[in-house]
Amino acid sequence: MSLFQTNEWWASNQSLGEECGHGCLCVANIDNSSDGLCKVITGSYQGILRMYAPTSESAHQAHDVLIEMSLQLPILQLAAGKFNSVSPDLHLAVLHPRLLVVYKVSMSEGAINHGNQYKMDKVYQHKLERTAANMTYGPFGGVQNQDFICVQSMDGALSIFEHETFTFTRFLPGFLLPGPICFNPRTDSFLTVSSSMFLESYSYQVLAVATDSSKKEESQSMASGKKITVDWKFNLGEFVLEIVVLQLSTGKSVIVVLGERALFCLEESGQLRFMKKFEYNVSCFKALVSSESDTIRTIICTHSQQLLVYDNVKMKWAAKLRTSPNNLAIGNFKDTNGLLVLLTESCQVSCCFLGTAPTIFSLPRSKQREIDIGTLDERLNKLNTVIAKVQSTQGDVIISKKETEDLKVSVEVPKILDKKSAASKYSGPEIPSISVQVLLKVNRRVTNVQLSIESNPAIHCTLQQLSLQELTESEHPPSIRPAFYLRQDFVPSYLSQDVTVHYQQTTGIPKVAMATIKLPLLLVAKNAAPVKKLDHRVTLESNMACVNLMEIFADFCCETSGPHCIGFEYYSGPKATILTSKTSNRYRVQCDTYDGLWLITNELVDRLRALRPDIHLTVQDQPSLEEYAHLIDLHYQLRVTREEIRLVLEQRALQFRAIQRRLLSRFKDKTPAPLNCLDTLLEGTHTQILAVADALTENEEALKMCSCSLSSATRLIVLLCTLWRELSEGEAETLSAVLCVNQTYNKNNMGWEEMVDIGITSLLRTSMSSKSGRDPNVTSAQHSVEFPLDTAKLKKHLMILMDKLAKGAHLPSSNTKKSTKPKYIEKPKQVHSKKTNDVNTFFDDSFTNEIDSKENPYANLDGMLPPDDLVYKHGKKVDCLESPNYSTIPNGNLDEEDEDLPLYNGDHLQYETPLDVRLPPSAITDDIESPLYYEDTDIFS
Amino acid sequence: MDPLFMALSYYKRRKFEDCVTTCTKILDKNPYDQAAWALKAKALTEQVYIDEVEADDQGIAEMVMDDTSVAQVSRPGTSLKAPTSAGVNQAVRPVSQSGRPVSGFVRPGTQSGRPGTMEQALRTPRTAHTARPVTSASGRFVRLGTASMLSNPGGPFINLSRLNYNKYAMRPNLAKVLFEYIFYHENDVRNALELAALASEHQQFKDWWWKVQLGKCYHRLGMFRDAERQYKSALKQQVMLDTVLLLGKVYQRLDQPLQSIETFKQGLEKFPNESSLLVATARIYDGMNDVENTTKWYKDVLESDGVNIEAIASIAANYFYSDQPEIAIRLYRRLMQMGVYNVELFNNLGLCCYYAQQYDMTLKCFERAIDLANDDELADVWYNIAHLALGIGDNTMAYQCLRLALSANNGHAEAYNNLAVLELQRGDFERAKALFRSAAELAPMSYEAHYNQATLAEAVGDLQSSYISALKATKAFPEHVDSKDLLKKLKQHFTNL
Repeated sequence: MSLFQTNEWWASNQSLGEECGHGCLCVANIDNSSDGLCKVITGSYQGILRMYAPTSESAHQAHDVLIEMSLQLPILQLAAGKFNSVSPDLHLAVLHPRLLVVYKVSMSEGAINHGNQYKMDKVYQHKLERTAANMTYGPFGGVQNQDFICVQSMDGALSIFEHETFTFTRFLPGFLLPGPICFNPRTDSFLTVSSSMFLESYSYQVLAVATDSSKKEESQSMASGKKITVDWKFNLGEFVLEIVVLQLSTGKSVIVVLGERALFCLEESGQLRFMKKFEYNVSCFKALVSSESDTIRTIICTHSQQLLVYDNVKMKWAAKLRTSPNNLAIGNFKDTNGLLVLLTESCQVSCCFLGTAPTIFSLPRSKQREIDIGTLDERLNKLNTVIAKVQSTQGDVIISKKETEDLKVSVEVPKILDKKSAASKYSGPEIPSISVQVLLKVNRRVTNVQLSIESNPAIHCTLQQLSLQELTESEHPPSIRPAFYLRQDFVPSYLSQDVTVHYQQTTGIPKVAMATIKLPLLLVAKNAAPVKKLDHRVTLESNMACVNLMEIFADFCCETSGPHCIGFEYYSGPKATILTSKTSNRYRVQCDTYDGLWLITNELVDRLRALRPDIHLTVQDQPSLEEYAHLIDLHYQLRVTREEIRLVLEQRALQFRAIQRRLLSRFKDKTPAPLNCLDTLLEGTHTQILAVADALTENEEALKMCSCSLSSATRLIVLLCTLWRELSEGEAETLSAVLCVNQTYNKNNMGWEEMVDIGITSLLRTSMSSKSGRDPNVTSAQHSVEFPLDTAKLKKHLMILMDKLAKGAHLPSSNTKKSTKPKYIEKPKQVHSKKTNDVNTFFDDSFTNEIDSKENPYANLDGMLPPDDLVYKHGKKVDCLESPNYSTIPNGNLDEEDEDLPLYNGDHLQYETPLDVRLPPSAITDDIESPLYYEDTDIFS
Repeated sequence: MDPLFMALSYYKRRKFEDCVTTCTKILDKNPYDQAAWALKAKALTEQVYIDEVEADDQGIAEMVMDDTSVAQVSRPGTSLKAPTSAGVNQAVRPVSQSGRPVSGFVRPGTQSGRPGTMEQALRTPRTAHTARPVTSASGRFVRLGTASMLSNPGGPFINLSRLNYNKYAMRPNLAKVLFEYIFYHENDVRNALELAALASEHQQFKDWWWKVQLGKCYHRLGMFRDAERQYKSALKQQVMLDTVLLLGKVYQRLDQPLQSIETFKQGLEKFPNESSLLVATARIYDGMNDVENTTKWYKDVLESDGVNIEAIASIAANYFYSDQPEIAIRLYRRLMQMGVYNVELFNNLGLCCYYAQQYDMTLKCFERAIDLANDDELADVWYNIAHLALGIGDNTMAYQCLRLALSANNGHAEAYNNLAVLELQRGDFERAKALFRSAAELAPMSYEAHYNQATLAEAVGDLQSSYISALKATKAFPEHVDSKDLLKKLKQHFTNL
């Protein structure tokens, strides 16, 4: 980063395919011309030596090149010095891997203005026994006006050549890789950096003297030398690129070392003068002594194409280079002194000077073109109207319709059943299965796809859950074919299955897509011979002539069925028949079991309505509750049994633990005592526990089945009521919600009976109550959900409900603006507040057990806790509930000393959950106006 | 041409890949060539080298479970953990998410700062792109280590488990190369420490370099006191820049900024005008929220190193926040002339131009910034444009800009806050409340959202929430007068009740 850039004064041509390294540049008046102008000499690893005389500011011209010749051998280093014993002229030393040659460069003047001719004459050469790494030169041993050459080999031998004669070879101690080498004439010593990152100084005298007695002075003298002692050494702590020795005006010299990460300046005796840490990677440098202040000026080139000038450690100048050079020199050329000569890796030389020309950093053109104000305005207005429209129609810009359709689920139910039943491996009698194709259509890439199929107690599905890492629009959607088949001995209460797919959009917003699989009746029932008379029957009346049953139940026809009668048989046993009257417009459905009626009746109604959209079906009589009550009793009985078995199980487990404890203490006792048959007792209890657990499982299975039947029956009741009183769809929905058609089987201690009872009670007391006041028959105070003592009350309430319906009362419809949900949330509150008024008259014992029933769900069966602190509870509760701010006060702010509240909250939640499930999604979004909702959408935008 | 010579030449020209290939060839021929072996190790090291002085990522574990600091409850002005807010007014200079004043230059550590709580530590710094904060300092080094494995498709170059460290410790020329390879390339601090300890012993504890390396190892292992001892011992032998800097870093980790500054000052006596020492000092003052000294030291840096971008940017930021946008413009322009070309620069220039009333340039600068920005930066740019829009009174534009900011980065607390104010102006009370809440949750250290929440709650009579929020606001910015007034008022209300 720099403000200025260097100005190029002259540059050589690009030379292709050449490479050069450190030391391949030499700037000197090599031809010893009288004007003292410098020539630039470059060499390359390809062995090509060039000599330039930069002359003009114009681009490279042919006559700037004085010499260009191939030496055939790679050129490692060039040096200019007084290498001839007889003349004080500058000669050029060229280091090849195995050869050191000294040339004399001379010029012979041309006759006319065509220029001069330069030539190189070999003065002498030395064959090297070892591969050379680099060299240095100087007046070794204090000779005057002469330069000797010292070559360092790759394996750490220093060979000294005094002009034409080879003097000696010495090995450097502890050598690994050749470091830079430099000669300090003032102290007559060599400076080099060892592989252990020390700057070491070796005196020439020491080197010369350190010989063996054998006076063989061959360069092959392997490890023969004595140990060379180092003058001094300085621990630099890093590897070094270059070493330079400078002469100060005071006569002293300083050593400047360019390390990889810092610049060091040392006294000639090896003390640190200063150092400068770099923030960049350096490539080469040139150090000078400033004439006026005796400070060290360094010019440093970096690999990030910068040229930095330091005065000691202060930065004086920073300029940008066009290239990153690996050799830097300073030379005086025609008309201009002190030009920087840079050599790049590809052997291109350029002469530069620092100027105040700024770095021309032109900003890239911005993408946007200037458009005139008019069109801009127009576009802005258009966009604004779009935004306004979106905001007004959708409320929030961030939720757009498009996003919800990233993934679509669709199902394809085949007309025919599977040829090979998936159920065959489980059960002996043939139960058919059906494989449904679930299709996931992806419009945009989605991740974390989770597909789940709702479990139906009566129908088994081969696939419950499926997780996919991601789906993209391009790839073929996976083929999902879950198979469904009937569980043995079950009569299902519904045939539809919900498929839910959760997925995440690429933006991270989680979404849900749903589809419903409608399984065919064929899956659970098969054709059978019609039976004239069966126990349970339902009669439907229509306003049109009876249709041909063979026609609408074509898939169930058999040889015994006719246009007026058709038979069915569930795979689980019950038989059913549909009969039509030849004279009147009546259909009769009859079945062995009451719950078996439901699916057939429902199917009949559906198919009739599909065939004749304007058909009007009614039921004349009030649906009979007797058979229904029987089922309720059965269900209730099974639940009671379950609780009893659980109680027994608990007792047995307690007993088991007690025996264990006793046994343990027996065994631990230091003085052994007889076991007193405790082991037999333990074993017996264990067997009992196992037996009880088995019984529990069995009962559970029976309960499941009974629940399924109950669900079917309840649905039938709802259907019949609907047809009987011609209820609207919304009313029917409310009725089925009240009767909890889905929650007939619950694992926890809150059962169907209680829920339905509460639902009916509140329905009767609120929307269906006559204006005159409370119906005396309805116990208004249904306080909490708990195990009912018997089903009589429920049955009574059901009767009342039927009576009311018969009298023409209307149910609240869930389709109205006031949806059922808020009502359900409110209901428990009202119940609570009212109830406490006459708490002593109704169900006092069970009510007070509310708390205990948390821990021990069967405590109410014992009915033993006396009411103790009713007043206290009463007062507190009403206060809290009627507080107008209830919804805004978070839980934490409620009085903590009121120990009932958390419990209340717990119950409250329990009310909510089952009801929540069945609400259509639209109702949820309508109701929740909490601020958090918006916040979330913002976050996911 | 000698292959080893070429390899060395490649190394000097920083063509490390070529160097490694050449060395590998030599080693294939002669597996016992120590020179080639050392050169290859050097080249591999240099490829992944990071100056230990600069590598300063502190993970959650280091910051939260910090038991190295000398004083757990330190006196004001002597700790980096609880810096005094003297000289920095939050109302003037905004704070980053961790509650430090916005610095002019992003370095490792400036974003995360020293969080007070675990929750805060877990929150990702705004500029981080991963969802996970740096869990531990070693995590980064492990990543570097695995990255370096990639460069060696044939498996590791040196099998550390088979090395006989005793043997190598006796050979100083190999040991140093090997140490750097183990430390930087393999990131195996334990083995490096073993080698360094043996080598240092073998040198009769006379080589300061080994002591510094031991110190580095101890530092990485979290043994700061041992590191300090090694560095001090090394300094007794030879005062070197790196040692001073590393010693200062140790004191920084020990939460003794003053000691650290003292070390640097001693270093400066030995190496006057050394910019790395000056920068390090300035950074510590920055960490202590001492804006005046920070600027002074950064100016000193510029004296000795006129192209130091960190110094220029920091000084410019300070000028900007001390209401001298014109000078800040000049400094930023200087940066641009020097070739800095990024979102931050254009964004800052745009803001300076806006406050210096050079409106014509403002939009152009922001336009450029948007062109260059990626998501997180984009959010900041849009947020600033929203400021501009508010300034010229175009509330609709401000609203849209803030929405855009949020769509670019949904964790932009400031944008939430301002959006909430705009919503409030529009009369959508509920939304404003929700937005304030998100803003306060996202940036608990900035007082604005808390104060806004408090005023809003007070306006609707929810005195309790108002009180809580006002307390939070005063905690974030103790000198905030409005919050204090509100608190006073609330207290009066409560006593009346």
